[in-house]
Amino acid sequence: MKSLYIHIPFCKKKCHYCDFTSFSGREALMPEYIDALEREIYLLTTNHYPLTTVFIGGGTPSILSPQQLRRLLNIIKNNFDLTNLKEMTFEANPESLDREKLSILQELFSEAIRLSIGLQCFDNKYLKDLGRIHSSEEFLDKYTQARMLGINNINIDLIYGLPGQGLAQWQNTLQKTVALKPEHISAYCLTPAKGTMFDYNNVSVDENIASDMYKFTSEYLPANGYGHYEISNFALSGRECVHNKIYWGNKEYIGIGASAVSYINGVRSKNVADLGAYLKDAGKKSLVEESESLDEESKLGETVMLGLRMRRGIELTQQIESKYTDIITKYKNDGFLEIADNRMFLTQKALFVSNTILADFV
Amino acid sequence: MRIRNFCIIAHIDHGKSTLADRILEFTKTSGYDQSKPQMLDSMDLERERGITIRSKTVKIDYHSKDGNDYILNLIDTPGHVDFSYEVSRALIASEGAVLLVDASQGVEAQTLANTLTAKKHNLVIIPAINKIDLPTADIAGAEMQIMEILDIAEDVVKLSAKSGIGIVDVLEAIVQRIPPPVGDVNADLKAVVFDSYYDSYRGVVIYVRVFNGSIKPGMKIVFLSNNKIYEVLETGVISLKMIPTESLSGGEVGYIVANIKDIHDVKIGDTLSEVGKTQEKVLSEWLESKPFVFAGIFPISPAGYDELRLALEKLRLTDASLIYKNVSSSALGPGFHCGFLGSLHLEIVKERLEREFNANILITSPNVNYKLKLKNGSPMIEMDNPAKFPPYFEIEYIEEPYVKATIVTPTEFASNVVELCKGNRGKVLEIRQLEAFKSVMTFELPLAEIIVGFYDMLKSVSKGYASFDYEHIGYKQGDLMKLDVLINSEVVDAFSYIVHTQNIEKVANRLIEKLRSTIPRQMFQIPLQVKADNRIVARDDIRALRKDVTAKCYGGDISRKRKLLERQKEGKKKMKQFGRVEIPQETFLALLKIQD
Ligand SMILES: Nc1nc2c(ncn2[C@@H]2O[C@H](COP(=O)(O)OP(=O)(O)OP(=O)(O)O)[C@@H](O)[C@H]2O)c(=O)[nH]1
Ligand code: SF4
Ligand SMILES: [Mg+2]
Repeated sequence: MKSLYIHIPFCKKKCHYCDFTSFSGREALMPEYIDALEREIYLLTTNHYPLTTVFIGGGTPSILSPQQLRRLLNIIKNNFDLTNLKEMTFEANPESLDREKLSILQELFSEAIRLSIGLQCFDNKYLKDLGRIHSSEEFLDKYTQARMLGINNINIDLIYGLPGQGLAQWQNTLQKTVALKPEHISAYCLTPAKGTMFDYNNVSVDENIASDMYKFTSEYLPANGYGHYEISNFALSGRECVHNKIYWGNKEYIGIGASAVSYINGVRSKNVADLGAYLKDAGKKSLVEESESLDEESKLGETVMLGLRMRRGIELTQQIESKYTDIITKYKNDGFLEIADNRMFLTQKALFVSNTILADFV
Repeated sequence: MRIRNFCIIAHIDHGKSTLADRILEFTKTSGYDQSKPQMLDSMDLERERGITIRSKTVKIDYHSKDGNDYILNLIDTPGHVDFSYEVSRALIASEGAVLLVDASQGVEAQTLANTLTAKKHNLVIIPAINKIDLPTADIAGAEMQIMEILDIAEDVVKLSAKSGIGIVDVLEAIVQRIPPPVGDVNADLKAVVFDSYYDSYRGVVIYVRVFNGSIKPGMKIVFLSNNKIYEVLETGVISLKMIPTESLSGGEVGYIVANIKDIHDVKIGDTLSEVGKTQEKVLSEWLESKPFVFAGIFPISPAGYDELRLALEKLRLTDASLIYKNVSSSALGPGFHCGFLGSLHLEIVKERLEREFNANILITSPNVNYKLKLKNGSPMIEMDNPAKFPPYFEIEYIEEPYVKATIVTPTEFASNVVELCKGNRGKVLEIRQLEAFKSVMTFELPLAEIIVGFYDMLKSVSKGYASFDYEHIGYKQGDLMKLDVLINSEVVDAFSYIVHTQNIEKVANRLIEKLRSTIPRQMFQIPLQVKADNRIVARDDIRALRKDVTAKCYGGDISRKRKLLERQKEGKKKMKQFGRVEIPQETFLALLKIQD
């Protein structure tokens, strides 16, 4: 059983904080790109892998035209065994999502469909600051359409810690989000990545305000029925993202598309990020730009690093216990780690400073 | 054989090593390499810093204008005050000295200090003005200063070591003015050790100046300081390489290999005699390079202790002026308390440990040696480690070392210099204002006030013009107190600091500021305090870290995030774990510069 990630590296406009592999103004290449995806998939699967989860991410997958979307979904259907598919996440931005695309998703994947919409915040001023090209009204419209078409598993992506944003404004965004009753909420602290517009303008996050916002979020959402299951992720019961838990559980997955990463047989490999190279080589020769075969030590380090992101933590195996005895004791004594039912997990106060802790485990 | 033994002395950077280059070049000494300026500065550190650290001897053949062939034994010396010891030993082997004065700088503090030492040894001094090629050269001014400040009336040679002007004049002056060595070749052996170094194949190689008799392989020699006896295996002369000879006799300078294993058996200034023959010391006492500045050196992780010990042992073979003893700090664990000639020497040792031995080390802020009189009536004790100071109430009084500092400055900065010295508990001893627009001033200063940052401050109050030299003049009582630094409520003994009571607040606040600005925020709040005799004199907190999180981590990010965390972990490894607090190297470095 495998998980599949497909990367759609196109966006209408680059957001000011974003360093994902995504290109704006190259939409004309989308048909060719889907051809290349098909070739890459074809080369990969002669024998119809059975999939449990699919995640179409970006970039902005909703930027595909209805025809292109239909084609992409059919390629997936034709090349993989989807009998046991549990979840098919599709990332969308309000400006490019529409009724027709929603219907196609619903038609081809029905029950499995999980829609993830990038809202980021309810205040149009901050949306503009972030370089987003939609309004909160537009989001509401698309969200309602999705609901009306019967899509019953929706995530809303939010960002906090924006320059000038106060706790009250963030609380407001959270309240409005909760009122919509999405199944899942991802709330990320702004991270002005290197090389982005924000980085260029030296935008920094006020760590005291951000930390207060985080604290509020992790009290407010659970109080409203959203379980806090990963550092930045909250879900109604039974609605945690199955696909992302594959990553955090350090399980294997296949990535397709420019810059996509696969983890297969203990090897992490990354496809070329260059669009031209990808279009040219897909299906013809290896697309791997970097790869790393993980030794046992790095593997264990990753298992801990990823697993402790989840509130349920990791199984405290003999191996982990003996390798990290001192570190575990230290953080346990200081109230940053807890152990219960043979599992080890970070405490609430540890989450927002978790890198300091995780660094000791890698 | 016509021999001339001489050294080149000067203030730092006045061109000694460059003059040596020109002499080697002019005399076509074999091994001279034009592509290596200041080629006698052969240690990596010397080349990188562009300064001479060790004295270097080289034998040169010179055909003089008078038609005769001469053997010149040239010794290039360092100019920096930390290495004045190197100058002293060069003087043992010389009858004369070429005293260089930079034409644009004039006479400076080490010019004066080295002149006085050379005069004390009754050396013939050849004054020479170098760098006459510079547009800023003031030859007349320099000449006047040589007369006025140095009280030297001899003819001044004018040269440019860089452009090769006046080199023959220097050589001819050496031949004509410096007397040949006197010695009786037929008398019993009498030779003085003026340098030594450790060679991993041959053991200790010693440099000697033979006064009487001769020395040859097979001879049994004795060191008069400790009566140790060795058999000479090889003798030779020192040119750009070592050239073995059948013997060394009266008047000559050369090296001896005698299967000596421990460099500490060899004392500079010691006399060598032949076993069973007359034994008479040349110098009444040997020269000792006494450490005046002390600091703790600790491995960053306790596991590095053995490696550090080995590294120090090896370093001591080539640097006899470094001393160290074991010490155990409650904060830093086992390490070494080391003694240095001065702050530059400390810096050089640190760099060599890191570079040549890959040692990961921490150095505590430097201090001087103190003498303590305790109330319990016991005799005075010496204490070179503030961490080990007894509690204040047990101390009757403390004495600290003083220096007599000589500062030469353009007169316009004289009042700034006086202010600076007074601000550092200095007392004016003498001020001489010279016609040459320069002032020569002497001060009495506590050594503790000048080992860190003083030199930089002197430069900054004089636009870089003032120069500074000092000699040690013994101990005086001082109103001193120990400051204890508490991090997270525990005393970090390695940060203990001795201050004059009038400076308590100032220093305590600086200590806090250095800690606060260099210790990264951690998972909990860290109180910082400085105590003087159990009274808190400064305090602050390092607030707890609030955010250190990777908000998003999905399939594509895993390797990158792991590597980021690995780097973070590497960074932590470079920190010293003190209780629950991690202290980075930067903190130690900052405390080394407590003055700014
Ligand atoms: N213009 C000019 N520069 C010179 C002359 N002689 C030396 N220098 C420069 O002065 C600087 C110092 O020269 P060194 O020969 O290293 O001086 P030093 O006296 O040996 O210095 P220490 O050994 O560190 O005391 C170098 O940059 C030389 O190139 C000269 O005659 N003219
Ligand atoms: S944040 Fe999303 S929509 Fe914005 S540029 Fe990045 S991938 Fe595209
Ligand atoms: Mg030199």
